[in-house]
Amino acid sequence: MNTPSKPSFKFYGKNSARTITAMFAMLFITGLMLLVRNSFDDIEPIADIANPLASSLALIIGVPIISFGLVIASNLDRRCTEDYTFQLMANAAQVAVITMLALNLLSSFDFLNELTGLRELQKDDMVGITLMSWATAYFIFRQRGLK
Amino acid sequence: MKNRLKVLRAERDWSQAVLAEQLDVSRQAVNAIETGKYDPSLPLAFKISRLFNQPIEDIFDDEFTGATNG
Repeated sequence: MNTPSKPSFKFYGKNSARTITAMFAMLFITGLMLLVRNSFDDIEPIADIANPLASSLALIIGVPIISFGLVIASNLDRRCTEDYTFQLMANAAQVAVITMLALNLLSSFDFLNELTGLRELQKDDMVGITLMSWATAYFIFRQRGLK
Repeated sequence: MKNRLKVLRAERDWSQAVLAEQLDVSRQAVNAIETGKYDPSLPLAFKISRLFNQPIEDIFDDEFTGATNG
């Protein structure tokens, strides 16, 4: 049987595992930087909302629309990456969401904040936590496997 | 799930990269399957089966030992 030629490296194709790994390394650093930066920034008070009803409606309508768009986008991800890489990303994303929700919940307990020094979480903290957790879980799943 | 992918690959003297190219996946995916860190999707399992010209159950062992219901 003929031996096929040496595989070529594609930036975002079936051989994208290294690209994705590099991307997650950057996501980890970005998340870390966001969290550290926010710890040294003064917390700005939330401004009064001019029209609470319109704001709520915008969120109620906007979230499903954005979610629908991202479902389509994730289909593109699934087609452009191989199943293994996509499974790594999807499993790590699940961990990231749960981590973000859990930390958000924990930060609402005053006694825990006093005990651990955890401050009230801000918008950018959520992004930082999610990115860092997503990247960390990705590397753990790569090391430990998907079982 | 155990598999014979490494043995089948060695029999043909293929590297992981060569097998990965034939299956149109990354070398990391082949390594993950061989080391049991990842069970391939059904389409990929069929692709492996066709490539080695062997039934899926001869390549993959789901280690299921329970009795079947009659």
